[in-house]
Amino acid sequence: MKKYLNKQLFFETLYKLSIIFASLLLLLIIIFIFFEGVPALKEYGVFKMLFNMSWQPTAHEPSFGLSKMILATIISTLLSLLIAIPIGLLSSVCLVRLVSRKIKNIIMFIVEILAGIPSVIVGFFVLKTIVAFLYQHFYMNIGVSGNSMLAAVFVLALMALPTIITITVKALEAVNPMYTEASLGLGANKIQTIYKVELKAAKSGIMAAIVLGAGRVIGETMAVMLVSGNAINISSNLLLPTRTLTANIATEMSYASGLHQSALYASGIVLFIMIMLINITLLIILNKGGGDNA
Amino acid sequence: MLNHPWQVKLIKILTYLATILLVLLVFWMVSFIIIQGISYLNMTLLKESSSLIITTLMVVFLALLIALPLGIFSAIYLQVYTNNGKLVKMMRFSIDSLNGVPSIIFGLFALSFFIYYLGLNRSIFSASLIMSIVVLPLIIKNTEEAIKTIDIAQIQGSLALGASRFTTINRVIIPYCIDGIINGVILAIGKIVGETAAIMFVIGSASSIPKSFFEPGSTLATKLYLIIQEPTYSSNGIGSAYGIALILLLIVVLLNLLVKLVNHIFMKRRG
Amino acid sequence: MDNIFDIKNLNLWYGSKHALQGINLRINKQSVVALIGPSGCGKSTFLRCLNRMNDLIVNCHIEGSILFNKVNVNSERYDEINLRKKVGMVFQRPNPFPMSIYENVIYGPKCQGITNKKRLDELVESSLKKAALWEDVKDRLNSSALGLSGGQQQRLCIARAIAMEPDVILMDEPTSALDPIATAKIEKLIIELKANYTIIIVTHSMQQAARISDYTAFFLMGELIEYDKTDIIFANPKNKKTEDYITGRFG
Repeated sequence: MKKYLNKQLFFETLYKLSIIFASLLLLLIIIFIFFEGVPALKEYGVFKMLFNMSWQPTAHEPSFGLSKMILATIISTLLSLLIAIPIGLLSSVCLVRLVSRKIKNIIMFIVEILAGIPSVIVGFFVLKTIVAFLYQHFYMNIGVSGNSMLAAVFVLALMALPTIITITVKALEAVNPMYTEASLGLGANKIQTIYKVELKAAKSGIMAAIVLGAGRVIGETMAVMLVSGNAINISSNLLLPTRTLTANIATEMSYASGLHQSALYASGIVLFIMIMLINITLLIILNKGGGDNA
Repeated sequence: MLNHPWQVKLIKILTYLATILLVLLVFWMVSFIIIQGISYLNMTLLKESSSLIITTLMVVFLALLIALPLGIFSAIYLQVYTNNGKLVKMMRFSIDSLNGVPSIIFGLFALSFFIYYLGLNRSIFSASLIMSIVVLPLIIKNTEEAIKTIDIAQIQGSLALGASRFTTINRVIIPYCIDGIINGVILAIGKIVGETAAIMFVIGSASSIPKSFFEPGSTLATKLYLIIQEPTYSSNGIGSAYGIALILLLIVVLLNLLVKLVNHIFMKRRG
Repeated sequence: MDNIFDIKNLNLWYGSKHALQGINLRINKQSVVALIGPSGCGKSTFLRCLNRMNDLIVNCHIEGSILFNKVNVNSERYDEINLRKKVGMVFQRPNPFPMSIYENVIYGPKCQGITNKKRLDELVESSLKKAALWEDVKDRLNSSALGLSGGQQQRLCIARAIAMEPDVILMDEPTSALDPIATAKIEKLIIELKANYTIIIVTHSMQQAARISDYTAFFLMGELIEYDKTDIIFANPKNKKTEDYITGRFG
């Protein structure tokens, strides 16, 4: 009996330790990122880092201004969502309400494949097609090499789509069928029912889809790096190259040292905070919208 | 308000167009990779890829070796032993947030913690360590989902089950959840195989078949990235890139099919 | 007395299951018709044919003619959306939309294209009054419909249907999810509504049928066994099966 109790205690402690360890990982990551990044923040200044336009880490008097890259991240995210959200919502509606179950399953499989394709490959594909195309047609413009904000937006939209679609489809399928019945019984047609009732009922799920899509896009590194070019630049001309926070870190990390490296970690902190804000937004949305689908 | 037939038709057409666009984009990408990849396939490519594939498998293996038990035990604790109190909610938030951490941040952390702080070498081992952290939330979530479908688990933290029944719980829960666990494993493999940013600072690079976990190495994805940036890294130049991309794509498709197969088998079993 | 519905030889299949067999029925204007019968006898299925809600079910095949105001609505050429504007439905469980009370009532009219605020306000007031709900909610029209009690929600659903100004209101066991007091209120309402609408109600309760209906139709295993004035059905049924059911020998 004692041996048995010992065994039980052993496993219980094992489970407890596992979960404690798992939940501390996030903290561990935060601690180390901060540990590496704080020196640059202290030395250069948080305010300057966030708002200074000049990023010249290897200059004689180095500057670590992230504002252009923060802007590039924000703009690329917003523009790619501008493309991915309508396409994602429209196709989700089509899949859930307008096509047969068989077709829906086939297309969802295709979406899952898209979701599983590694970002290097998506970036590689866009590099060899879109970027090449842009170069071919616009090389006469100064500074255009094909690698551009436009290509980055395209690649990010591609990566956001599967996230948005899978979650939106789930949300639409979870809508209480009683609402659909009631609407049709009142003489509304299918589209009216979808728009006025079902999308409204699925609102919190759809918001979650968008927020998660945004999170995915903000944190995307490889695909963006391959197609956005290397110039630290922000302009209204989408054909010009640009550099996001993520691409900046990945590109320069290989040769950075000392304060430069610390500054890269600091930009990681900025990125991290942006993502955390998005996560918290998601939590708020989910808690608010919990009671709608009664 | 949307009651005219032409409005209804317009919206229907828009949704169809969006779906068609989506499908066409995926087809374009997939066929591009396949066509280009096939045209560059040759013996040297396959030889080069074999070391990459082996390295990738090594990372997958070691990462899962760590993440699976850790993940399953955590999931069991969360589902069977707790009462959804504030502490549990915080733990869940922490683990769920791990899902949303960008891979480049994992890469920065791996460099700082494993290489600088712990003094490990850039190696397959270090890459496996960080990947085990990356896929942990996946394993936990999938195992939890599977446990949730069992009614026994709904009796959370209830010692009414009696201490004496505890081993029976384990003997019942884990076999029952095996499909959820397998699902999590397959998804995790997919994630590990395609990962670049999280491991690129800690895995080093290599061109030959690794002899141990503690050597630097190149996975399919990391090598692909290196070749794109610098085509001279490979004897085939950019052709290798296409070849590796093809191999990676095939692996992804295979894994997706495997998920469907596993679900099909277990759907039948669960009846 | 005019027939608002004239159903001739209605047959319905769910896949290979012959769920409705050769139904013939005439329904008078401005009467309350109760459909009774044991579970699975087809009464709800029949009801849903009258506003073509069965169209939504895959594998459902319907044959026969359903003449509504002398026009056959059971045909592909007839627009089912149009039909549902004149033949409204109230369901078993109250299902108000997760919107305000006001928005629930004007949902149907808005879908039809009515946007005039004054007209909508009038419609809301008159529909809620006819559904005996106006006094309860007139001060909180903008509050969520989900905050109402079960009985109130069901009356809201009735108001919602009335707002379409239909000729017929179909009710599929409208009080089975409600407590006795709410049930009594709705039964009273149905009797009041008879003056302006034709009401066809599926009910599991024979007592309810006896209380509120003018005519009763008894269904059994997909067939219409007997249809007559309620008094006759309950006091002096012509068919033995009807008598067995009424006296509780089965079902």
